[in-house]
Amino acid sequence: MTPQRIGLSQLKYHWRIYFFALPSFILIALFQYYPALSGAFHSFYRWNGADINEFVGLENYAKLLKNEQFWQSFRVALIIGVWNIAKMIPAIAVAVCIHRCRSPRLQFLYRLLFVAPMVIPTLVVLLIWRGLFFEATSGYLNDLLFRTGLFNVLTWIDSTFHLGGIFVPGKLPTWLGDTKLILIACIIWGFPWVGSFAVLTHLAKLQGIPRELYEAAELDGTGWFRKFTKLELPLMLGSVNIMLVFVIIDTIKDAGMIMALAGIGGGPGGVVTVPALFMLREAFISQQMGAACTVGIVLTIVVLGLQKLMSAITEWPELPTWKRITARVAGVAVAITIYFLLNSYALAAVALVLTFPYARFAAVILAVAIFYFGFSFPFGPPPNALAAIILLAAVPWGKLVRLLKSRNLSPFPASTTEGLGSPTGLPRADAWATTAVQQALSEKLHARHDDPGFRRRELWRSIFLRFLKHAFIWAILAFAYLPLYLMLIVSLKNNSQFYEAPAIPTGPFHWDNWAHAWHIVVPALANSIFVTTASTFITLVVALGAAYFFARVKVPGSTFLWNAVLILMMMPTIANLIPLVRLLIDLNLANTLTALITVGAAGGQVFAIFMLRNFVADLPQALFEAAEIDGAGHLRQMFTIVAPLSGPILGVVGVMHAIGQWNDFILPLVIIRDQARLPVMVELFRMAGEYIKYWGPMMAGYALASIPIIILFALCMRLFSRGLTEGAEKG
Amino acid sequence: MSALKHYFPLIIVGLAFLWSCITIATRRVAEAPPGTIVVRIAHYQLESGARDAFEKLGKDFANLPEIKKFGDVRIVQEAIPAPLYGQWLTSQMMARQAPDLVEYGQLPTPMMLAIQNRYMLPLNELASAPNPFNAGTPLEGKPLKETFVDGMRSGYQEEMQAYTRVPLSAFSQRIFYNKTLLRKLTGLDAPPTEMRAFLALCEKIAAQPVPQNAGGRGGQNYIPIASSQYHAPRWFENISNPLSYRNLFSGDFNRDGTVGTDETYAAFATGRMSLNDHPWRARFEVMKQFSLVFQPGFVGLERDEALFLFAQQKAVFISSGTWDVNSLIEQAIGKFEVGIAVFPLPTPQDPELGPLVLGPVRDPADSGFPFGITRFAKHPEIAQLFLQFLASVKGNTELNHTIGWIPNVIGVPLPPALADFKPTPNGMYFAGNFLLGGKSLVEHNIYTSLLQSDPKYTYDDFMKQFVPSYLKLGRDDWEEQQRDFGRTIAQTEQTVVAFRGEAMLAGATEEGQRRWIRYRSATTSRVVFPKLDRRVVRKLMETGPRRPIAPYNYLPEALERARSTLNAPPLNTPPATGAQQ
Repeated sequence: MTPQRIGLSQLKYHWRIYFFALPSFILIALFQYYPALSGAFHSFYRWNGADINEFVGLENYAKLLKNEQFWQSFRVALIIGVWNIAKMIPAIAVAVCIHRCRSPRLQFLYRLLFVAPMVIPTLVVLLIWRGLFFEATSGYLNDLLFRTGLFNVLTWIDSTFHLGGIFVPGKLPTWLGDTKLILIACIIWGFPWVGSFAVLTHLAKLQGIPRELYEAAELDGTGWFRKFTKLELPLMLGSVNIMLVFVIIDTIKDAGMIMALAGIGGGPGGVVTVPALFMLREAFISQQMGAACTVGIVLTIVVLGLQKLMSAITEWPELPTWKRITARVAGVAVAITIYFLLNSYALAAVALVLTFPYARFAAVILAVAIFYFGFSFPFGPPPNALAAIILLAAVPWGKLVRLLKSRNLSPFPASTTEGLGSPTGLPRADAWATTAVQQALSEKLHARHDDPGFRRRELWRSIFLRFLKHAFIWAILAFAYLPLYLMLIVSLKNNSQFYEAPAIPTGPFHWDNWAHAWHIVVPALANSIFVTTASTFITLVVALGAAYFFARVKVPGSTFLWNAVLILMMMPTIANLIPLVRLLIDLNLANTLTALITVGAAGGQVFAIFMLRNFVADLPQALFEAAEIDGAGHLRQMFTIVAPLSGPILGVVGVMHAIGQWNDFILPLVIIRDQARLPVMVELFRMAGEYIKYWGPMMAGYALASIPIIILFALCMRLFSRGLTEGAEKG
Repeated sequence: MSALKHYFPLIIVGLAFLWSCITIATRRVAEAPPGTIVVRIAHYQLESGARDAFEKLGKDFANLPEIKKFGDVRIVQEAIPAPLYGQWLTSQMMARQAPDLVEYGQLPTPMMLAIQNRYMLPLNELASAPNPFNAGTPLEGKPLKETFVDGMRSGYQEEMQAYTRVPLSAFSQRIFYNKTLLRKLTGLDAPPTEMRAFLALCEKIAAQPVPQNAGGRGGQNYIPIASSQYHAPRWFENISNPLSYRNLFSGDFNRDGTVGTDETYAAFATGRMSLNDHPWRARFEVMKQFSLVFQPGFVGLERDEALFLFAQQKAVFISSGTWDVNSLIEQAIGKFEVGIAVFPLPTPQDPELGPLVLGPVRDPADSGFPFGITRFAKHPEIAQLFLQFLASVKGNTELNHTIGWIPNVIGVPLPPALADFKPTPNGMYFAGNFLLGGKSLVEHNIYTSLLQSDPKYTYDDFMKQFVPSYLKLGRDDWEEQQRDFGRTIAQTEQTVVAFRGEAMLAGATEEGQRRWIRYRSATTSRVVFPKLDRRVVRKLMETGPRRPIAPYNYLPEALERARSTLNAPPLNTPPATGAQQ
């Protein structure tokens, strides 16, 4: 449905529609734009958040841009970001494996089994990894390495490839205490990374693939991998691209998890300091709020720039020439900036090369630059190998093979489907159009299927692949359930039992740990449930009105407002944390649950409006026209048409917002003073900071904090899947 | 039925929300019924006993007749884990919602100074007034500051020229060791007190594998010292830091017996000090030697993780203070015997470190656990009374005996478990401090953690990287510190003006003359000298040393001047008149 255009002359009949978006914009303006502007303002001041507020012009910027640690923090974010992208692979693989299960019951079972580990709060998983896995002398990770002999393999790899003594015989890997290992720890925690909604989102996309396509592919004799690359992956690319953008932005703006893992100092040598953590340090250790605001502004600019870069890369073929030229000029400017600010020849060369018009040519230059400057990616291959990989990737293999084929020099044997068209599609479609060819293929296939040897081979192959698929799913499930298992096992132990046998159940079971944890966690649980429910309710009600406003009509100012909303999607909230805290103080909302609810609702607006607007826009226009003929105004249309039909999408948005709100701990950590008002995540974080940890009650507390969200997700899973599927179909 | 199924998730969410509303409402009523006066106290002492002690003392205090007259008073404590406390305190102060009473700590000194200056109430009157809760004890009628073992010196902030906090306990640090394991591995009952012998013992321990039945794996050996980012400084403070004592002779520009953060910076900036100097090199190299016998990766570990290792009997030694005695013994009950020993030191005969050993290491049982009243206190008068109650003979006894710490009030007996913690009031101490402010703190932590954690990172690497970065970023901190010193002037001026007013009102009497002397001495000590000190350091930073002469080395004519001043009759202050003054 295209929004109905309303001119100025018609506005007198439709002016009330602005009220639909008003609550949403009040929230956004107050808690998103005001802190951003205030941050920009204070970035020119030496401001301590209290009595010192001296104008210093661009001094904060000048100091920041010359600060090597700040740029180093971006390097760390870049490394973690690249690995975070790689961490998307298990979720895609699991989604494909589940999708390929033929039995609907088994599919349902797998989906159900993946729910619990997926929705355990991230902080809980992280604290479990920190406490139980990464501990050097008794942690499970080292235990696993030693028991399986993997440690010896790692030490061999280290000595053979000169990794710099990360794994040395006789020395326990100290994951959080070694400057070389802590970054790896920040990357690997949470294995097998099937958390969040990635699996369900991909599954929803995959469900949109018609069964006939699979049948056609099987008739073609397409293998399992080609099915993935040619059929499933292209259809999933939409969701993968969106997640890619979010992964990169989340990496840059995330500070909470790194802080929980490595502390506000960024671990030994500060080696895992990411930009947002750098900002928090400026604010709460150096008490330089003005400088922290400056970091926030630079962070915002970088994230917006990255978002532009991402969209330029993904939409490059469709971009008009002037935009391509602009992008290239911007690239050159970035290269110059890097050269002057960072004094990094290598990075500047990479940025410059990326702006070259011919990708293969650029890749060759890049490979030469890498080889010459010796630039390598941390935890990646050495410079020579990297240069070789890039060179190999730059070779036009497809053209080369076609050229060889055309001269009958191809080393590859002819495919069984030869003559039915190339994998590029068009000739094959033409071929299918010809009945004679169709018949020829049919005969060929029948002949092949009549061959008992082929059938036997196929049967074994199919059994093996099925076994592999289920084994993969169960292996991933086993790893995904490990934190949950440990949490439950340890929750029934006292400290002595935990010291002696941390991984296996030992009697007597200490059920009193749960009673103890209940006593501690209940107030925080109540706070979290209250804040999450209220914030989710406000978010949905307010955002639905705004979504209706954007989807139904195009009134003067709505395009501007829509763009204002879209920009916020890319603005890192943490960048505005300091002015936001100041605002909450000025509004007398510090140390209140109201602050968490309103800020949460304001923060949730952008995503909710974006999702709901697309949904409302896809509702049939006829429904609205019929209602208008019946004399229904906008309010009635909203209540009688939009609200009843939006159940599933409201469910999706609601669940996602609720989980985000439940897991939020940076803002409450800063603004809530009284223990009685702490949400559960901060309470758990504090419990983890006790001198003498009582592991049993602590793990019981973790479990209690996870249960509500597991229940919520289990209850809403059907609704959630429906919402995602509908979204996928519409998308 | 179908509708119920349809709305089931919503019903569950609604019920959960209802439950949360009821829980929050009832809890609030239970915590602070209408009309209750809530006094909040924040601290970061999560050891066993600290919270219980506050809980009990809060109740006892609220039940006192003199408190009852205020109404229903309730003391609510906020116990924040130490790693979060600094950040928490800063944000609460910034939010102007800090509790009535807060414990000082977990922020570097300059940051703490900024906090005190902006957000804390001066406690001069409180320090000079008798503690009403000491009635009936030998301390009755004595000013509060005189009831403390250290005369409440540690509660005085020089830069503010005011008492800002009341230290409730005293602390001393020792080595705790697993006597059973030490005997098994080395045949000794107690560790040697000489540093090199101690390190040799640690190497011997580190060479022995942990048996499989004791949780050893993959050739894992015993760890000599269980450490963490919390425990490591205990070793450094008591062993390597005092080796820097000789820095006093090159960096104590204002001759106050310490090398402050600004003096250290000025000394480095002007080339009077360098990390090549023997005291600094010795300090950091001894630090490195001990880092090698700590458990690997200790710089990334939290306090509890070191304790975990010690409790598992995989490490022999751990260091901590009186504050951890109970917690450590609690972990060992029924498993092993815990011994307490002093920190090992190099001897004066040591060929390398001997010249730096000028005596024993000072262990004065420093006063600590200090609490102050914030400017945002909703009930400052009751907060003050609670602080006095905690500082009274009865309150301090109850507090420290429950937690198991050394009391700080005169006449309060030592808890029996602390017999081994006899203080050493005189000796060497740390001279030099790089922690000028937030930026230098971060820089220092980054490079020292590298030095401690990476065996290949040498002291020369450390020098090359740390010094330029310290000089560059430290300048910002130094300037900010100078501004902070300036910001305390308003308070000093107020005090001096008050003294002057008193003197003027007293007129030309003997009392007036006495008050004028007090005014002049206050002006000199609080306004003139601090400014001169700062000026000396600033000038030193800007123009370098005037003469090639170090502090504690005096020119003959200067010594002569000092002698003649000392021998001169006291100044006869003329009677003052209001107009002249």
